[in-house]
Amino acid sequence: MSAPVVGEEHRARARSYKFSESPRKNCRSALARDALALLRTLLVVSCLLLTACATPTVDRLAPAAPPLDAASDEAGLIMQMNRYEEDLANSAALVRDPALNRYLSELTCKLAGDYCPEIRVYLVRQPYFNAQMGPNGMLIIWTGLLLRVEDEAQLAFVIGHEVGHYVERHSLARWLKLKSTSNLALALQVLGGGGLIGAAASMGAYGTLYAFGRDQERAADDYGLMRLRELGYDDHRAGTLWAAVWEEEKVRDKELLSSIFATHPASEERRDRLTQAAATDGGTLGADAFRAAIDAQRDEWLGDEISRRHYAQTEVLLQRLGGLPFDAAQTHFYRGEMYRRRAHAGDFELAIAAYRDAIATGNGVPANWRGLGLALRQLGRNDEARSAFDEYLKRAPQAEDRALIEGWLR
Amino acid sequence: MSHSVRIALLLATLLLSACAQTSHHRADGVTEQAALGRGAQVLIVEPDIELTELLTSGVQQPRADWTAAAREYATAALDAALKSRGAQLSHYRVPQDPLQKEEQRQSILLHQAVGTSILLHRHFNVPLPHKGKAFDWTLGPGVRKLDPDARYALFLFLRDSYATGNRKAVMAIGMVFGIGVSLGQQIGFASLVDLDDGRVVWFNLLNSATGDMRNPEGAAASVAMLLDGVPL
Amino acid sequence: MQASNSRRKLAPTGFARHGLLVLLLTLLGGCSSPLVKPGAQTVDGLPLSTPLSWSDLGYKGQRLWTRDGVSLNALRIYTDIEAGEHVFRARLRGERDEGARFRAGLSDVEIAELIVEGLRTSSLVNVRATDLRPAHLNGRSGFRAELAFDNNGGLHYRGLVLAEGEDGSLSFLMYTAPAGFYFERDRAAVEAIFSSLAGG
Repeated sequence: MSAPVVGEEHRARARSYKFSESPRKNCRSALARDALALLRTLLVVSCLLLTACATPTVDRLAPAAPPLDAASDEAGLIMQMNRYEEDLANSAALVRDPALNRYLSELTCKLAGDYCPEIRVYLVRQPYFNAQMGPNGMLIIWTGLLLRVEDEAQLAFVIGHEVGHYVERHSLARWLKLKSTSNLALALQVLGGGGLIGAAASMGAYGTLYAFGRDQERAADDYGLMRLRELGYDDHRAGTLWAAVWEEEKVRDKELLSSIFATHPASEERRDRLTQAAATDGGTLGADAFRAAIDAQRDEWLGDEISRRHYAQTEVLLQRLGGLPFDAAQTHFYRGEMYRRRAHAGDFELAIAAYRDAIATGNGVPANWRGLGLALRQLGRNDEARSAFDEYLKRAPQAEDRALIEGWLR
Repeated sequence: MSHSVRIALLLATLLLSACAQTSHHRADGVTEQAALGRGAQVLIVEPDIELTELLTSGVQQPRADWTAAAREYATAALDAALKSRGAQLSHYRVPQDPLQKEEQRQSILLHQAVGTSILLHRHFNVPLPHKGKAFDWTLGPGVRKLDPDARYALFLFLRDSYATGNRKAVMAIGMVFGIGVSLGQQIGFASLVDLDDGRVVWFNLLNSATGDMRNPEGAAASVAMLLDGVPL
Repeated sequence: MQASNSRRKLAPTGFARHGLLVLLLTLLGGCSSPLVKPGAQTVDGLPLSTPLSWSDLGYKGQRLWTRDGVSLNALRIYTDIEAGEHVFRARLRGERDEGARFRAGLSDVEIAELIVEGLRTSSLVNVRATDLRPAHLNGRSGFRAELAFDNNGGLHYRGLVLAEGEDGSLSFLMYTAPAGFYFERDRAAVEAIFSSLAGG
C-alpha cells in the first residue's frame, strides 16, 4: 500500500517549529514547544515506520506454478531478469565448458527436485565467492566460488541455499519491502524541511535493491541443510565451507573493496550456526566427482585469483588448497606466482622454492621455469636464471615474451 | 555495468524539461528531404524498449505488461511510418549459425559503442575540438554483415516511466516546499546506419515528459517523435 | 535480482573509473578538452609527433586522447608512475602493496604482466598480451606489445602498448579500439607516434 500523503496540517506545524524564536529568549516554553513538535513529527513518522517495517508475507512458490498476471510486481521483476539472462547468455565472461556445465546442471536439478525444470545454471568467470538466484529461476555461480569449494557436498549446500531463495520467493518479498521502505524514505524527505530529519536519514533506508535480509539468509541456509540431508550428503560440509572462507575474509584489509564475498558476507556467526546445525553421521562428500568436474578449468581460475594481487587472502586460500589432495603441483606453481608478485623481503626465495616444488611434483607447465627465471633474476642470481629461461623457451617455443627474454640471454 | 544501465544513466542526467525535446543530427550531405527510404530496404533492429512505473516513493517498478504492449505497438508504428515513406522493411532475426551470430552481435555491440559516443559528445557537450561541428560517425563497412540485402539499418532505444496518481500529488506538494520530485520521463534515441559504408546518416535523441507508449496512439506519437527528421 | 544489482558491485578500478570520472568532471565543469594538433610536441615531458589530430579528455600524467570517443579509440599516455602507485593511477586505499601497483626494479616482462592484470581487474575479460618485443621510449629501453580483450558487453577490442619502467618510474602509451574496424583504421597513425618516441 502506498504511504498516506502527509496532511498539510502536520507540515504547517513542522514549519512553524522551524521558524520559532531562538530558544534562549524563553527557555522553558521553547523547550516545551520543541518537545511537542518533536512528538508530533515522530507520531507521523512512526505511522509510516510501522507500515514500512512490516515485512510483507509472500507465499512459497508452487512447482510449475501457473503464468503470472502480467501487471503484477513479480511479472515486472521477472521481465527484467529475463532480459538480464539474455545478455548473460551472450556474455564474454560466461564459462562454456560443456562437461562442467552438464555437471552443474545435473547437480542443480537434483537439489531443485520438483523445481528442476524451472532453473538454469550459469557459470561466470569472476574471481570472487558468489552465487545468486533470480526470481525467474536463473542461477549464477562465479568461478571464485568453485575454486574455494572442496567437494560436491559443499557445492550442494550452496546450490540448495539458492534454491531455497527461489522457492520461498525472497526476491519478491524483498522487492515489496523495498517499495514500502522507500515510502518511508520519501516521507522522511518530505517531512525533513525542519532539520530534525534531513536528507541524510533517508539515504540509509534504501540500501541495495536485492540484498537479502538476515532472516531470509537463515531460511535459505535451513533449506540448503534440509536438501543436503534428504539427498544423503554429509551436512557437516556446510559449516566447514563457511569456516574456510571466513579464514580468508578475516585477513581482508577493511579499507579495500577487496572482499571476495559479493552477496554472502562470511561471518563467525554463520559459520558457528552451520557447524552446530550439522546432524548427519556419514553421508556423501562427492570429492572425486567434484574435482574431476573442475579439473580442466582450475588452472585458469587460479590465474584469475593471482591476478587480483590481494596477497593476504590469496595466501590463506593457497595454504588451504595446498593441504588438500588436489593437484599439488598446480598449487605450488601458483604459490610461486603469488610470492613473486608480492615481493616482500624473503618472497623471491619463497617463490623459487615453490616453483621448484612444482617442478619436482611433476608440473611440466613452461610457466614454472619462466617464474623461476624471473625470481632468480630479481635476486641477481643470473646464471641460474639463465638456465631456467633456457628451459622455459625450450618448452614454450611460441611464447609471447620470447623476444624480450632472449634479449636477456645474449 | 550492463549496457542498458549505462545508457539509461547517461540519458537520465539530461536536464528535465516540461516539453518534448528532440535533437537530431545528420551526416554531411544528407538532407532531411533526402527520402532515402524510397525504394530502399530498411532493416529494423529489434527496438530496445522498457517501461516502468514510477511509484510514489521514487522507485521504478518494471512492468512486463506495459513493456510487451509497447514493443508491439512501437514495432507496428515503425512499420507504418517507414512504409508510408516508400521503404521496404525487414526485421532483424538472430541467425542460427554460431559464427554468423557472433559476427552480427559484434556489429550490434559496436553500434552501442558508437551511440554512446554520439550521446556523450553531441548531446552532453563533452567537446571533441578536433572534430569541430562535423557529424561524422561510422560503424565501418563490416556492419554489412547484419544483412546482405538491406540498404539501411534502423536502431531504436527507449526507456519510459509513468507516474502514479499519488506521485503526482506528492510532486505538487513537494513543489510548494521547494523539494524537487521527478515525474516519469521518456528518453530514447534512434539511429539510421548506411549498411554500404557503415556511416551513421542520422541520429535523434528524444527527451519528453509527455507521451504514453502503453496504447497504440501514444506509441505512434512517440515513434513519430523518435523519427523526427529521419531522412527516409 | 542480485545479478544486476549485487550488493557489492565490482568497483571499477583503473581506467574504467578514470573514464567515469572524466565523464562526471566534464559534465559538471563543462571544461573544454584541449585540441591536440598534428605535428611534433612535448606531452608531459615526452617528445612525440602525431600525424593526426586528437582531443585530449585526460590531464597531466594521465592523457586520454580520442578521435571519436573513448569507447571507439583511446590513446592513453601515462608518465612517471612512481613505485607504489596503481598502474593506471587508480586511487586504492589500504595496504600499500596490494592491487596492481608499480614497483621499482620490475623487468619489461613483469611490467607487461602488471598492465594485463590491471586491465583484468578493470572488469575487462579475456585479456592477453601478445608479440612482446624490445622497443625504446624516450631514449630508454623498454618494450612494446599487442593487446586483446573484450569489454563486459562482449565487444572485442585490440590494443598497442609502448612502455619503459626500468629507471624507477613507469611511463607508457596504450592505444585501445574495437577490433572490428577502429583498431586497424588508426593503427598506422599510432605506430607513427610510437616511432616518433623511440629516440628521445
